[in-house]
Amino acid sequence: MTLVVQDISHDYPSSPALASVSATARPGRVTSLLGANASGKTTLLRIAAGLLKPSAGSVTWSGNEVGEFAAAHRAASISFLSQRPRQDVPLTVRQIIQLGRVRLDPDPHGAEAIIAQLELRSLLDRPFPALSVGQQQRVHVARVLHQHQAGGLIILDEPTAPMDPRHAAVTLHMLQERALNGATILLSMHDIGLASSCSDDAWLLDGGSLACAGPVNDVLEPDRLQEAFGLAYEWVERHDGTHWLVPGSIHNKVE
Amino acid sequence: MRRRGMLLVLCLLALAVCLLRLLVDRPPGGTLSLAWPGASWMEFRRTAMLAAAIVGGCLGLAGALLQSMLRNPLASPFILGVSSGAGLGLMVAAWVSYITVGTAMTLPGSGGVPALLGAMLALSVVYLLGQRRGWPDPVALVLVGVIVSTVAAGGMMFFQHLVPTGLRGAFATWLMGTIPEVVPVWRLWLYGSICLGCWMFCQRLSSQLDASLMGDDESESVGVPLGRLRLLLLACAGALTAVAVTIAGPIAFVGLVAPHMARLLVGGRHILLLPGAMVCGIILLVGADTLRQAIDLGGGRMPVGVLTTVCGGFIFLVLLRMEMRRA
Repeated sequence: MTLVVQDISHDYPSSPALASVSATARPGRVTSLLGANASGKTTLLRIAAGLLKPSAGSVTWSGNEVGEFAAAHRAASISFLSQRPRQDVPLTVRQIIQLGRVRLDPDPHGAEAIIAQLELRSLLDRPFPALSVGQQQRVHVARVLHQHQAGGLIILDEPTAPMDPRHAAVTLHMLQERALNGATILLSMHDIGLASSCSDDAWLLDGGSLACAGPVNDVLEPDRLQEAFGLAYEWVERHDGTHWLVPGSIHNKVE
Repeated sequence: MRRRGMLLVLCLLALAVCLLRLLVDRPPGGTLSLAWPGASWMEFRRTAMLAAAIVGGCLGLAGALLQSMLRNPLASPFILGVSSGAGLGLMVAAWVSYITVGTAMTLPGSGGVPALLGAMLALSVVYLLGQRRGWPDPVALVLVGVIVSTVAAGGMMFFQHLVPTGLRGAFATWLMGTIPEVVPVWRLWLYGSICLGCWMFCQRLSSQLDASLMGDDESESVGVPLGRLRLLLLACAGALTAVAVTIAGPIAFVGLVAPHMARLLVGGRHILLLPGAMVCGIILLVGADTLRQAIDLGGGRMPVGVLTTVCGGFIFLVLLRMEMRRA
């Protein structure tokens, strides 16, 4: 149950997006996809989920080409959250969460646990468009986790971007739990500190090419980050002895 | 539960409106009254009531399918050019019939096949030209639909111009939208069966239709084969529109307003929305045809299409305002 991205290139009519990207995401591990804006993260995630056909290269899940999965098989194997899900869906929160299993057997107990963890119980009968963007994102995360089956692949494009810090932490904790139970998690994010604390592995994209991939602490080298983002980073030690990556210039300003 | 109860109320209301259509009596120059008609009048009224119910149901369902598929509250058989395509098909057939046989075929009520061909041709053009990066794009579909609708409307005017003045009057009345009082029973059975068949088929896809509202990537990722679903929905919407146009000519706003009404009353889930839109379409069109029976402005009974356009536009504005407030 491994996601293998092999020599993926993709060109849009106006510009190239990805050039010869090869990497592997393994089961039981959370892999963060990092990179500046327009570095190709969303394109790579859509290709990895089998939703976009690459110009060249292949993506396999458990040895099978994801682009050739039948719709129901893909639903059972890969759960996906896009960067900008629609906000005007005329359904209730409960109905949207249930849609995660529209082609799968219902799992009401699993749904209840997810709803409780993401603190959505009081919102269940509310119309989805009436929620804040952060609440809507929690609903979509719940839908994706409800869809996920044991040993499957979960791909999320900036899942915590619109969330407050506590719900972002809850979401990442739930993803880590899934990984511990054998899931393969691939998610993009911009918060380098959060990525370093919640991920096992990282892929760093720079201008459509893979700058580095591997264990998160090996990838998130301050010099490499400065090259990819044009911003200095440094490790700081927290009171509990753990380390946190922060943008150097902001850190200096706080001091 | 409350939503299901509302659907039941709508069904009862539709039955009441249909009954009212049978009872409303107003002879030319006479006064308005409610009376159970004699056998000969009953046949005319029953035919008109059934024809209006089928057309209303078809337009309501076609509108709901198109609005969901395009995720666009302004989509309707008219916006996408389907009605105009069906109308053009009928007009061409009527003109060919006139130049070959010497008499044009009866409008409305006959010519289902050319209407279906016209609707499907218009839909195919809209579907093929409304794609972006290999996928049907909701915005591009609507833009192409508006252009196809305009071109087909121009074509209808062209063929109307080619026939003699007397026939031109019949074409003009048909173009306004008219519920016929004389239609062979087998045709009503056929059109009613198409309407119910499309509904039953789409009802089975209702949960996939719900998922399609979330967006292309989201719906594909939960296992909805979006390309196939869109093709099936377009085919159903085309067949339903062709039936409606064949029976009554182009009738505006019912296909636009009925799904909005249903969404407000029974919610957005398609398992209730699809039958709800059909029933709302029946209430709107049979209701409008009943109202038309009661109105006498001295120039004969007006075509129902005039009433649906005037009232439907106003109702649509009210619904739009209510939805904007809710959002």
